[in-house]
Amino acid sequence: MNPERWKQVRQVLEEVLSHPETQRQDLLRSLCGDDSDLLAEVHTLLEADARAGSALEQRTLDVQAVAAKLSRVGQCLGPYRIDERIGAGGMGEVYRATRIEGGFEQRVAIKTIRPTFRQSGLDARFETERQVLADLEHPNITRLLDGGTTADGSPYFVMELVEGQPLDEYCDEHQLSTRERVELLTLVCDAVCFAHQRGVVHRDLKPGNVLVTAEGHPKLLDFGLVKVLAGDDHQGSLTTIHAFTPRYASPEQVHGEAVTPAADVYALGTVLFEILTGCTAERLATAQIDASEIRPRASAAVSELRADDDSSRRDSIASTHGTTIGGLATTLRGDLDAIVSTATRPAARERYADAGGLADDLRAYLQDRPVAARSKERAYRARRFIRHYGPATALTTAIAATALWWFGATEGPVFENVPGTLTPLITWPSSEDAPQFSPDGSRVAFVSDRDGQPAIWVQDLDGSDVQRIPRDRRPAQLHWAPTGDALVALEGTEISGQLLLVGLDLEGRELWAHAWSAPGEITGWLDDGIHLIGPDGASRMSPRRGAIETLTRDGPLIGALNGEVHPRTRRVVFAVPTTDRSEDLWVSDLDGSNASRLTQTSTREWAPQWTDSAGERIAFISNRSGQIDLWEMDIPSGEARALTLNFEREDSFDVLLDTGSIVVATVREEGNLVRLDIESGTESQLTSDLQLDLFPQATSGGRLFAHRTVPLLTGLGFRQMNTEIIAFETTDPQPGNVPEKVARGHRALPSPDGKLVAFSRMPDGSRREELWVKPLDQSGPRLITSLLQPVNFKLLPLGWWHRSYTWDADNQLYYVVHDDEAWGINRWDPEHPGTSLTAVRTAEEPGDPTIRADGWLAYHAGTGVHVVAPGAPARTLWESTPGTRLRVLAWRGDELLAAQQRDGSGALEFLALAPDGASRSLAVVPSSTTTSIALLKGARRAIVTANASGIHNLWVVDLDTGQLRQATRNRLRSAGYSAPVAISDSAVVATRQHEGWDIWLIQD
Amino acid sequence: MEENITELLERWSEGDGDALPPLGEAVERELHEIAERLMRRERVDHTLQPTALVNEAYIRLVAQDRMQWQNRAQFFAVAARIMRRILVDHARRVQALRRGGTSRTISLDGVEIADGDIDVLMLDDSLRRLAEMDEQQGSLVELKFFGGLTNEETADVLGVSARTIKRGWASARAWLAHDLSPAP
Repeated sequence: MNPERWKQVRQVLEEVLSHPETQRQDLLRSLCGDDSDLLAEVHTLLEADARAGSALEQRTLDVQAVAAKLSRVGQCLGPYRIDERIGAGGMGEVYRATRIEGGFEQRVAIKTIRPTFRQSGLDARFETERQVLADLEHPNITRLLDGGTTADGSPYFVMELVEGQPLDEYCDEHQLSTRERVELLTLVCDAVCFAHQRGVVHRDLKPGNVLVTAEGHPKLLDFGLVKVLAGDDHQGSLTTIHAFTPRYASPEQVHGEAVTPAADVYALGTVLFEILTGCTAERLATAQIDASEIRPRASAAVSELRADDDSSRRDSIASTHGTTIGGLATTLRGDLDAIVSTATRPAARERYADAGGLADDLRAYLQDRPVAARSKERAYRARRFIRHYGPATALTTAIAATALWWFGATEGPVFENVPGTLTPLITWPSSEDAPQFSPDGSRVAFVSDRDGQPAIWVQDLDGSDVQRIPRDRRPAQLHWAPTGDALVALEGTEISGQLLLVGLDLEGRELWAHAWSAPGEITGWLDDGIHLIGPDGASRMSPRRGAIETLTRDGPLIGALNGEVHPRTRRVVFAVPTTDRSEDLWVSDLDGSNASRLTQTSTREWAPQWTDSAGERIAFISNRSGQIDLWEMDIPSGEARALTLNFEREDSFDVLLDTGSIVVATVREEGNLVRLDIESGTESQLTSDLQLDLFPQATSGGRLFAHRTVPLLTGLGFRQMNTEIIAFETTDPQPGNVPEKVARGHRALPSPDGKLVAFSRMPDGSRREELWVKPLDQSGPRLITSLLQPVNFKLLPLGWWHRSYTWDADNQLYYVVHDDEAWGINRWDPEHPGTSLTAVRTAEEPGDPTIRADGWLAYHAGTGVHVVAPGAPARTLWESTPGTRLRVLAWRGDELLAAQQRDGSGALEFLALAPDGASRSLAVVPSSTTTSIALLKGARRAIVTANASGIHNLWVVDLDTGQLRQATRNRLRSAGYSAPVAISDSAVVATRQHEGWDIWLIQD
Repeated sequence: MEENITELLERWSEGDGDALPPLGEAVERELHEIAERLMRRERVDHTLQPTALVNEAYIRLVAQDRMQWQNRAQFFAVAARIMRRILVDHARRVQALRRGGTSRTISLDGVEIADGDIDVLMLDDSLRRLAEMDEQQGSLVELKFFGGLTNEETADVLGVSARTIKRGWASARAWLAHDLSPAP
């Protein structure tokens, strides 16, 4: 079909499809008139649409297959079998692999390269360099063994496998003295010198590329790889790949100039600085390159630590170096200062010519001979600047010093200052993230892993105090408690659906941990600091106690903790993902308090369920024994034992609490239910009919439910499985008991009283999912709705699946419907089976749910802004015009604050909507794209980042007077900023730059 | 080599086509990471939807602002494109191996079982034909299928109203259903 014809067909088709099925044929005939071809074409499409049913609407992709595709483990590359991924970086992945051809088994490391780095000429360069690299036989250099190209055209390199620790880690873990550190680095310099003499420059030296073996031998990785990958990069053209690590890269590399052995000297000098001082060189490197300045003396960096209020950091540096801070500074002063300084001069010609020069001077130091660097140092002129740069940690930076960097930088800041309105307070020119101001505006919390470990830092804005709260996982978001004495961090994205919210006090103590069961972001934390809008609705969150309730229109339901609630003790057991790809089991009270970790092994433990009526024992899945088994743990003693049932990936189980047994649906015997006695570990087979049984679930109503699947082929090649719900008349089935078929359907969900089971069914040829309820007293099933909508909607008093229907504790069934016109959240009451109540009905997907303290809810949907009073149906407060984007911003007393932006009109308008629906324009901001809006001062002022003509501006909008002030002009490329806070009459706001953040004071 | 995702997204949304390749790389890298973990984690209690995979990548990659109007949708647009490519690549590879084997898919809802449901390669072809007739509809389906975007988010990315998306989706779906049908 050509585009013109399709346009015509499409118009008719869409009009017809927007009407109910009964009217379609008549409408089609009237729309097509005499055009019988058009009628036939649309008719064919309508038929195909009806035939396809729901297949296109509710498709599921095989994610395991995606995962398998993405993972190389188990695949072969040439003669090598990939065993395990051992690392990943910007350029590609590193795998441990085994050579499986050629008569001998050899363990190697394989580095794969990402497509970005696949440049033309790579193969030729590899061949050229290969011989050079093969000649680099040195005991401290890992050898390049082989290379090739994967089936999808991605190059890979095979290297000698080295088991070791990164240099910096090794030094600290073994608490090497300064002298021992210098000795180790001298060996590294010798190896680099060996390569320099053969014309090979490493170009990416850093602690991670120097592994130290258990015997203490350093091994250099990736020699020559950068050159192979990037080619000659001295032209500095746009297509050149800058394959280096900025922190250790010399200025000439950063600027894309010619690279000589002096670049490696610079990197070695930087590594030396870091392992000698325990400070990172990152911030100084940035300042240095931009301002053509030198780094401070190593001893000065250490001395400055004394002024650092973070005594734990001070103590940790002192102890890992086996001395005191004062002692360390004294050791570094003089020769070592001069050596580091000479190695890291910005101008390549002022450094040691190659690694050999650096090695010589380090030997001279070790042997108490005069070092060559000293004389050069005396000649150096710019010493007076050193003190301005302060210590290597940015955190103690005084405001004055930062301001000096700001105004003194010749490259220029990316902002232009508007005098009198905008004052820079703090700049972090590095990778700190997620700054959040405390409610009183006196402090800022942010996330950094500057010292190798993720941590939350809390800094006073006047620079007087800084705290560091180390975390195992790098938080993605931070939120302050309204009281300012606690923080909530969103952490851990190990597996979807298992984000973790953690409450922390400012001493770093974990107050609670809450598994955030839905994948997705937190879209808003209301200004009260208590209501959290997550991907699946609103929760009430106490910063000190954790999630308490998930809110719905019908009032609070018990919240959705990701785990199992014990029926008697109301304690919850749940699994929490950790950074090392394992999972820990936790137990807590229902509101998240009294949480404690049950396991801390390096293996995964998951899917915990209670196994006893006292609430002391749990069953869970683990692979402690090397295979996946069911285990049981006694919580008071912490003792765990294997229940020895080999688990498969798709197996599922349910504990039969009263009978001391577990029912497992396993796929290993073509799908069968197996009963496992917890005490004796004996297994007995309950079913043996070769059907695939799944998801057993015992109910308090005295039945055991499960699902059974039978393959079924439908039209269009969309194959699906026919699912039946089966039930045993007892919760303790024995071999010989035969389950009865309850209904054809899936997603069986028994009611809490065990009298009813809800399930869904997809009639053949329909795109609608139906919701049914079957009373278990032999009467037939009842259709509740044929418009069930499988959205990610959660009302979870009992379970933790995403479901489109659920029971609450009073046996009320909630479900979501969606027809062509509207979405609805409905409730069905078994006492009044003939009717369903609609709690919310809306024509479009609802957005920006915003709750007022008294329970009123506002949201936008389509072109309307709607409000819901507690217990009342939703009503439209205000209608915008089509083609307008809407946001609901906040409640301001009785008024609702909203914003609209017409597509393409280039203006953002703030509106106040009165309870009677009257609207008032508050202010208009020129903007083609609005990237963020924040409100402060009781929603009387807004701070907006808006993009007009490709340039982001920060605007301060007075919502009382409609006055605008443009806080920044020009070159603000990046739109991010942290929500501002007010300090008296001034606002503080952090803006995101190309790297890092600036914090500004905006005054009236 | 750290890329500022937010900035790349902005550059891309401002029409800077050069920003797409590094953006795609970063997203793919993240999807790889997550997929690696999935492979190691023999979960019995749930299997993930691609939407969830992409969602997780988003959380890891994009700076969190309280009220970002567009970044999220833009990110998903990139992710949708990558997800489509990954699936098509994968489908090509396994095509030969697929001879009536039963590879099961268990959806997030827990019990619903489907097998392979849609032939990704056929879908990819159909989508290409659809895009030739109407480019915007091609993008629309890509965003909804492979990125898991809602109507509202799709509308944000394509710069049209949600109503337009809804109508465009209805006709695209009918056309796809027809195009995917076996020849009579």
